[in-house]
This record gives sequence, C-alpha cells and structure tokens, in this order.
Amino acid sequence: MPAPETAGSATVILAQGLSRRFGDFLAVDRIDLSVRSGEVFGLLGANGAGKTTTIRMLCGMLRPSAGDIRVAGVDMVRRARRARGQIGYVAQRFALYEDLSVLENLALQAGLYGLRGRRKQDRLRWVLERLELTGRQAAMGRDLPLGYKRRLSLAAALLHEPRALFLDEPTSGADPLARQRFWELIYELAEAGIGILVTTHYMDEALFCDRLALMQAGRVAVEGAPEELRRRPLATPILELATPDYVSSERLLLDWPEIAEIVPRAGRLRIRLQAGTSPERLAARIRQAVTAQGLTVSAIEPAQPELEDVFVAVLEEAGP
Amino acid sequence: MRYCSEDGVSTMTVPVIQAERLHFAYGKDPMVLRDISFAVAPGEIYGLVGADGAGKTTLLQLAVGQLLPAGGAITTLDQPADSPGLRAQVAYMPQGFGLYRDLSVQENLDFFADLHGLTRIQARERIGDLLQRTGLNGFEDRRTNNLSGGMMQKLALACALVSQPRVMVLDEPTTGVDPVSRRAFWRLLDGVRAEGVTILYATANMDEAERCDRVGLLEQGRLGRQGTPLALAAVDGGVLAVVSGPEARRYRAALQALPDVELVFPVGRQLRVWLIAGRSLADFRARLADRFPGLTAAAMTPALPDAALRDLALGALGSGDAGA
Repeated sequence: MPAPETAGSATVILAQGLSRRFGDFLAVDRIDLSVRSGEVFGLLGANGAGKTTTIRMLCGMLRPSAGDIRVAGVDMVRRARRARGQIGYVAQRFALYEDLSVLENLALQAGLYGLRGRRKQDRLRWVLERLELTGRQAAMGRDLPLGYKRRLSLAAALLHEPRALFLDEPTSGADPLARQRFWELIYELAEAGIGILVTTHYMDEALFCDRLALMQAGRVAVEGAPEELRRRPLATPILELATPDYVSSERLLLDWPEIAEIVPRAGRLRIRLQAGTSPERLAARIRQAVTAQGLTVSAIEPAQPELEDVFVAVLEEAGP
Repeated sequence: MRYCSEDGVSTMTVPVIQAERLHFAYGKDPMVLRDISFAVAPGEIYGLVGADGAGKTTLLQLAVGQLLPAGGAITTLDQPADSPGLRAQVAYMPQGFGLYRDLSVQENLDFFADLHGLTRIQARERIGDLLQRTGLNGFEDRRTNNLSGGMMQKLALACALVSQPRVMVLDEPTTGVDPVSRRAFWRLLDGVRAEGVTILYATANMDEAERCDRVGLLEQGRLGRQGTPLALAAVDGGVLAVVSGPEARRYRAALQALPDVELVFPVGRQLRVWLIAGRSLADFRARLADRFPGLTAAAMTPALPDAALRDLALGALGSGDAGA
C-alpha cells in the first residue's frame, strides 16, 4: 500500500537536518541524505563516525534529536510504524533465532510484518528461492554457515516487499566470491526499484555504489559518485614507484619529510606526498636516491588517486 | 633486497616456516587440509588468502603448534611447530584477538609480559615502547571492552609483540576495521617487519593480500597458486576487459555464451570479462559490435582482486556451490 503522495516521486529515503545527541556527544550532526528508487547509495566512514547511528534513525529504531526523515514519502519520526513497513534492515549482527529453522525464522518474521494466508506463502516461497535457501529450509539457525546466515537475514528483510533497504556492513568478513555474489543480489534488488543504503569498509565495494557519502565526526564530509570523488584534486599528490627492490627502497624513503606515507602494493610503492610538495621534483630526487644505492627503478610516475587515498586525505583534512 | 624472481622461491635462504605435504582432519571428518607445501622466508610477509571455511585458521593453528598434522610436517625456525621452545619466539594473534576484555590495556600487556617471564624492568621498558609505537599511551587504564575496533587491534598487536617474537602469525586481524585504521595497522606491521620479524598473515581481503610480499591462495583445503601479488595478478594468458553500456548487466548470460569468453562477472553496473587465453580483445570487440552494439569493451590491467575472484569463481563452477 504505497502512500499516494509518493506516486510521482523517485526519492525513497530522504533525511534533512538529521541530528542525534547522546548526552554531551553529538553523534550525528545535521546531515542531509537522499536515496532514489533503484539507487545503491554507500555510506562510508571510520568506525565511530556516526554511520550506524544514522542508519538506526533512518530505520525508526532510534529517535532523532532533530531533523526529518521520510521513507517512501512516509514520515519516519511521526508515523514510525507505518514508515517501518516500507523498509528492510539487515544489521551488522544478523538477527535470527539460532534454535529455529530457516523456514521458522522466516515464518516468524512474516507474522511480525503482518503477512497472512496466501500472500505469506507466496512471499516465503519467493525469498527462499530468490536467496537460494530452498534446500536449507529445515536447517537450524545455529548450524548455518556465515554465508547462509547473511542470506537468511536479507531474506527476512525482504519478506514484506520494502521500498527501501538498509544494509549495515553486510559483507564484513566474507571472502571475495561471497561478497561478489551478495553484491549481485544487491544490484538485482536495485533494478527491481528498491532504494538501497549500504555501509561498508571495503573500498572496492564502495566503487560499486552509484553514489557515496563519507561521514566524519557525525557530518557528511564529502558526497558524490565514486568517479567524481576520485577526480577530486588531492592536496597530497601520489607517486607510484615500480621497483623490484621495493623493501629496500621503502626503508630508504621512510624518513623523508616530504613523504606523508608509503603504501607497498603488489610490488609497487604508492608514495603519498605532503601537501605542497612538487611531485615532479620529488620523483627526480627519489629516482636519484634509489639508484645511488644500486637499486633499480623500473618507473616512477604520478598516480591517479584511488578512493581510499581520497578518503584518507579527506579524513585528515577534516581532522579527528 | 629480496624476492626478485617471479615466484620468489628460488632466492630463498633457510625458511622460517616450512610446510611439507601437510594434511589435517578433525577426528574422522573429511580432510580439512590436503597436501599443503609452502615456505616463508626470513623477514617476509606471506599472505594466506582464502574464503571462509577454506582452512586458513586451521593452517595457522598448525603453524603455531596448537594442532598437530595428520600427515606431513610443519616446522618453524627449523623445529617442529609444537616445540615448547618456540613459544616465546612465535606470537599468534587469533581471530577476535584473544584479549582479556574485562582487563585494562595495561593489565593485558602486563599479563602477556608475565606469561613470557619478563622481569619487571624488562616489562616496563618493553611495554612503554609498545604503547608509544601503537599510539595507545594515554589509554593504559581503559578497559579493553571500551576500546574502538582499531585500538583493540593495536592492543592485540602490542600483546603479541611483548615477547619480542621472531615470527608473527595473524588471523584476519582487520575484519570490520575501517580503512584509516587498517592503514595505520599496516604501517605498524611494516615497522615490525623492518625489524626482521617474519609474518604469516591470513586474510579474505584482497587489498591486504596485495600488501604481502608473497601470497598463497587457499581453496577448499588446498593451496593453489603461490607467488608475488604481481605475478598472481598476471593470470596465464587471458585478457581482462570491462564491458559497459546501458543495462550491461543484463547481457551477462549472453556474453558468457560467446566462444571467446572464459568467465563473466558483474561488478557494479558493469561486467568484467575474462577472455580465454589466446583470444584477442580486438576479436571480442568485433563480436560485441556485431551482436550487442550498445556495449563497449575496454582492456583492464588485472589486479590481484580480479585474478583471485576469477580463480575462486572458476573453482566454484568446477565444484558446484561454494556456499556463498
């Protein structure tokens, strides 16, 4: 029963001036967010930046200290019960009953959503099939491997056909293939028109999102499409040094005052410079210093910042 | 200067950890690890990369002597891995860190110092140095339970380093930790390695695998390819292409059926396509232009994450459900 006022609107999650205070601590400070139908929106930030508090408010589990939230057009603050019927939420710790079977867990959840009779049976069948749980319906919650628990939690969140889906670090600890498969599901759900807000610590996953917001100390420090963010001019330029002698080269460069950080990666050193350093001039000096030690420089050149570089820089600019 | 060869093995001196034809099973259950051989050189960071349930933790527990092999042998510093003499020289950081969460930072460190028989003076000096290095000074009295994930991880590292070990064995230490803390952790680890400590590091995270000197891919209890991240990313032959266009994802099955294509998987709104070794991107593009004019293909330089994903995906195709 979609609210009539949302019929022409593509925005399924809308937060304006959202704040939350715990005593003296301002966990979330006047943030605005919007997620459209079919969009995958990534909420990123350091541990403790306010992501989980934000999600809990958006899901109606925590009352904001100030601000408005609308989910599929319904006011989450004043009409929380009705608005909650529009959302699905998968928490970091999967909420499932260890001593109930997969089917029992889902049937219980369906009951909580008020699903009955034919519709309930249809929805149970749909999520079991969709999340490839059909062969495991009788397995007890406690016996499920982590990957199945993850899918069961998602299944439970989809029973009532929500318009918005919140996923809080859904792939933490999963291996690359499991993460890949989970993301395929996320995309299929987005293609079906669900607006999805996801938090993650994995930068490769952040790249999969249509749009990203990076939170820092309760505020949104930067927002945009991943490619836009990667093109942001970086105050701290990056040089990439390709050398077979990367361990010795790293040791040699470690204490240079012009260098903020060296990240060894796949046989290359990514060298992040201090703000204001000329990459060209420093590249020449590095080449000279490394070859003077009898070490080989295969290449040294400015590198395109990666999302993680951008985030580390933004977080450093913003300060702790 | 180390590991200049492609596989890294030929330049190796005496390995610090060496597994030869290692087998392991829990009781009468099927084998968890089969025929595993690898060697970790002094001062190296060796990454064991694999899926949940691939056997990473079991292999680490064999390396620190908590489990005994059912067949084959594993030695650390030239002794059987369970030798009591190794306890002070090999530090193990288990998943979930193995800290006493009711104790304070200082009490945890004191406990580990006591365990390893440090004198009071040695302990004070060593712990002071570790608090400084990890940036935990000022938090000595905080209860471990009240630390952030990143700080807990640093405390676990500090506790593991109290005995000044020569070898460190780390089990997925950065799970659930944000990128900034992860970078800080790796900076500490690089510092530890610079002092000559040899590190065996289990992870499911490909970004981290790329930071290791060498990597071994563990798949369903077997050690697959090993080598430097650069060598592993250069998969035998096949070109990696990224295919984009309106609703590119919908063409996954159609592209998978093309004769040039080994494997297709969606990444975000695009598709990544591994061509069969020997097939050219030009031919593939021509085929795309002919059959799917909306799609374009660009060459990609494969990175380790792509290569590992391909390996895992092909492995899963070969063996049915991988349990994702």
